[in-house]
Amino acid sequence: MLFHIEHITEYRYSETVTESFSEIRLRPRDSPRQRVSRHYSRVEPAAVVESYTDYFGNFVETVSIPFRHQSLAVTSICDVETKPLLAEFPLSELTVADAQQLYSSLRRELHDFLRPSHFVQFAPGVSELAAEFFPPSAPVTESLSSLNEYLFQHLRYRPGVTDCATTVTEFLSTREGVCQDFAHLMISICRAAGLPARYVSGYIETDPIVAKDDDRDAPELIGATASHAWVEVYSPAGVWIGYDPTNNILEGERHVQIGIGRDYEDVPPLKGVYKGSHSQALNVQVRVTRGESAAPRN
Amino acid sequence: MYRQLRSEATAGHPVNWKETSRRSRSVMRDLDVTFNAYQDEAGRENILPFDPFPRIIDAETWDQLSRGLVQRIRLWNEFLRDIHDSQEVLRSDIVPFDLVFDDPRYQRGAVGVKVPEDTYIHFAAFDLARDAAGKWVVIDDFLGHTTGVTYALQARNVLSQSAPEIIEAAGLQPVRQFPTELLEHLRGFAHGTAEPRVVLLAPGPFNSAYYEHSSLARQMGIPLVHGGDLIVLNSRCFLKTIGGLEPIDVIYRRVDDAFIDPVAFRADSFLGVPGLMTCVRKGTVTIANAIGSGLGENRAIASYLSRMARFYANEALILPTVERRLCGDQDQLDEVVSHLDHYLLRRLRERSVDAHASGPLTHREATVSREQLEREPGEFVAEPKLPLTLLPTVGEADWESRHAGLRCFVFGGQRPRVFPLALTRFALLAGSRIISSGRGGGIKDTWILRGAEAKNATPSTAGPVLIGPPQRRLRLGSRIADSLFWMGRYKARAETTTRVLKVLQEVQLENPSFLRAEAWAPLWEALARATGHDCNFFERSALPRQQSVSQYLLLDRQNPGSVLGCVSRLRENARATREAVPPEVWAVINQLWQTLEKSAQGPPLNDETGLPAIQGIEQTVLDLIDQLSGTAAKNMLRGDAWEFWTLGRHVERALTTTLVTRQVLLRQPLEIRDEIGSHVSLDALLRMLACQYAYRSLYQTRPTSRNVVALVLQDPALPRSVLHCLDAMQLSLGRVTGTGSRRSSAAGPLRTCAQLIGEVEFADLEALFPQTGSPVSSRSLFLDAWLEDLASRLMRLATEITDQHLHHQAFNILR
Repeated sequence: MLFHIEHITEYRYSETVTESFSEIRLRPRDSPRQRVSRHYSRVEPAAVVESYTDYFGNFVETVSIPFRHQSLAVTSICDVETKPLLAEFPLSELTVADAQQLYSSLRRELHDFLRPSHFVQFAPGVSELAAEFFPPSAPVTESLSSLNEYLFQHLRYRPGVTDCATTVTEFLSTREGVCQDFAHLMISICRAAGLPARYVSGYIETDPIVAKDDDRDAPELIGATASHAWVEVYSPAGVWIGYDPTNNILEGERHVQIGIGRDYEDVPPLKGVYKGSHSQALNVQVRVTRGESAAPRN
Repeated sequence: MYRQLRSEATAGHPVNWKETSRRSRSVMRDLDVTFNAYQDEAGRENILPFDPFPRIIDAETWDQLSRGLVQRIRLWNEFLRDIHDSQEVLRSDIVPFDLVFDDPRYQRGAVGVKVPEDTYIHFAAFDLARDAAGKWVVIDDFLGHTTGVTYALQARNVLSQSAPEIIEAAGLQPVRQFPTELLEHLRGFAHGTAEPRVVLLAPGPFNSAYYEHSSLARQMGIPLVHGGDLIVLNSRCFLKTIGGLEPIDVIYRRVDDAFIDPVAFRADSFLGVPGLMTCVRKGTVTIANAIGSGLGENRAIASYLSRMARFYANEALILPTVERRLCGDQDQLDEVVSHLDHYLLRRLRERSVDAHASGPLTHREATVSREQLEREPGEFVAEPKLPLTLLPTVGEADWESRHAGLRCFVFGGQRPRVFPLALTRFALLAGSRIISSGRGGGIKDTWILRGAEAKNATPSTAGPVLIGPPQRRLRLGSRIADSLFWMGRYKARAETTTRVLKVLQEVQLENPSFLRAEAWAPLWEALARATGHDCNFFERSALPRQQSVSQYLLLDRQNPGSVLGCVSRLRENARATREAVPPEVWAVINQLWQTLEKSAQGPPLNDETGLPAIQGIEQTVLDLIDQLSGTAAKNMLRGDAWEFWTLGRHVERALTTTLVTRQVLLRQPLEIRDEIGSHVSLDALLRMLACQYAYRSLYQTRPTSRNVVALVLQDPALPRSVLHCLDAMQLSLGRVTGTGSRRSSAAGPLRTCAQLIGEVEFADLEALFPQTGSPVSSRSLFLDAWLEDLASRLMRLATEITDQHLHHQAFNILR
């Protein structure tokens, strides 16, 4: 599926600020499941945009604005093509114990995705859920699907009650939050059960695919203004498989991955510091549309 | 050797250790060799205890240690290079991968980033001790950044000053060149430039090692910078200076990785440089030691160094790590828990300063340890309690003996070498094993003797000295310039306050009491204005906290305008820029501050009965301020720093001259010229501005308002005249901006200054005085308005200087 994505992030400061430096992680990654045919970022006020690839293979752009400014807007444009999910998972009949055994030969490579990380903590409730969903004899693929469904059923999607710093423990007690919280909780449970899991930031196509008349029943997919986050679990067969507990689906053709990491801390879309004013207002607009846009190449 | 040195003392030889000890203490105080002890709640800097009796290391021992240390730094560097590249050491199971991956100092952002010459550790320190069998072992590796080297240098410095004769006779390896060699060493790692620019990045004056940072930067001749002094633009790192942005090639950092770049690492850090990692990735700047090198300080990883020696070099480890039990391992943990008393528990990663502190554990401590161990065993290692070396120290009555530790310093790179310099720290109390400076330990000089064959050879092992043209000097950092500017202002302010008060007191004493109280009013008002108060401040006699005037103006800590207040801020500014202030200048500032502090701690000053004491203080302050001016003039390089110090002094002086003059003349009874009071206050004004003799030699009459005004405003030869001050500022501004005396091209503050000069120089003072017979109400009003206007323009000039050069929004990149 071909997508055209426009992502505009704008900070407005209450007073003039100076010396701002930002890191932007908005370019979708290249993977077996998706290919980026074009990408560019524009910064206002105008500044040089440089880039590098980080430890997890994500594409990062940096911008330094040394002079006085009152707002900072980053417009990121890209065209990306996604492929459908595999119809059949290999080794899906393995038990949790079998899987753990297979992972042990890759402990070094998978270490980062098996340990607690900044947002992923083995809180008391987490270990209980891990024990409940992943007893050694349970089939691992089936267990993951039930966990995905359980989270979707028992947690409420509600924007505005949590923020970037919300921990798994807090989310477990309120049971309300956004995709980032869903993802962190699912990762915690998987890791606590000895299954390697990582955080994915990206986009999801939220509008109904077909005309509303034809398909009234098609559920609308949930994301934060099309910016989305979900989970990948390492399958013993050697591939990462995406689970989206906010929507109770597997990662599919309508998901576009931007970046991966241990948790949100590794892949924030925009991270920066500046000198000056103490308050800022953030405005984010994301548009995901089908097909390549006719917009001129930059 | 020890015996020989000691017996010399008892036999009445010139080496009198007790006398040396006393002298050393005073040298330490003058140099202000301090350490910010964390346990001191006030956060004050404490003078480090110093014992003059040196530790001696013979050439053979040193040679053996050196070989071990060179091997060690090589291995560590190889490990760090490998970890940031293909991680063979982990793939081959030489070092457990979780030790690396779970350590927060493993910087994922630095993996895959190439560093110049594959060097991670440019300069390291190692703490050494002897184990039970008497064999040397390493108890701590300092690889991220090191501390203590300045204390080692100062120990030698202090001993050379207090007992030069014994140093000379001892045949020691020289250490004086250390700062220069460190700089040369660091410059060697700059990338693609013939003129590398090096800065020392430090966390600021509140860090415990601030003394060390500033002193080292000064001795190396490089700027000490804080995170905010640097800025990253287009993957290049720049220093903000008074002239614009200077590209920086090497950053000798004293800041942990976690704090070095708030975007790449800890977002809550105010110490770092946002975006610095982008420069590291592009290789435009060398960080010494490299990002990620702190990983080598992991105490568990250090236990694998002998395996690494086999793996990387197929060698045996010459200088092993102290034998540690890794509590993350169940078997080793069991052993530790069952013999807790035998071990010293240390955290894996804590940069603890006290490897040695340990006695038998109290019951409570043992419980805490067990609990901690149970909760997070992987966080601890256990070490045997090593027998520390006991060294003789000079006691009150006789020789005493104290536990001591040894720290050595090593240059890394392609050809590592050990510098013949070591730090010996000792416990202050008998039996104590606490030797760290942060917890009250002291330092000694360490004598590394030259081998017999080396005695005649050239001592230096450094590479050849590169002979080339002198480097273009780095322009002064804006923050430093700001501090120097304010140092100049506070110095001038302290001087004016003292002098004005002193003259007022003298004049009152000298003159008969039949003078009406109003006669003093102009002088009191002048005093009030000069010290930043409303002019009727002293009339209202509303001095806070029922103090005497002298107490309030000289010693009141809560009065920011008091002499003590000014001197405190003068000292704070000097301390925050200590690398730009010569130690001789710092010593005078410190002495000045100590004098005032001491007086402030005494009984409050009484204006009537305590006058002799007050005058004593005033005279001492004025003498010391004169000494400060002289020392600064003698020792400060005539560069940017000097210009800002000069600018500060002159802007303040011009301002106080204007204000004091205005206030005295405002109430000057022009008509009754013969009244004694008139002469008294004009005379007092001249003395306040220290130009009594200048006036007499010039006019040879009793003072008149017109003459006095002409002198203090327009005489270019009088150091306190407004014109002289403006001339001096114009010269300084010309040098700072590089425009010299070409006024036509002047802009900004230089232009403003030149305009003011013209106005003051050619002002028609005659027109400002009322004609004879004009009404009393209009007397001096012209002059008064003119002076008021001059004062406010001088203040604006000061603001313009700081805006232009110090708080600049620098876009211009210097080439």
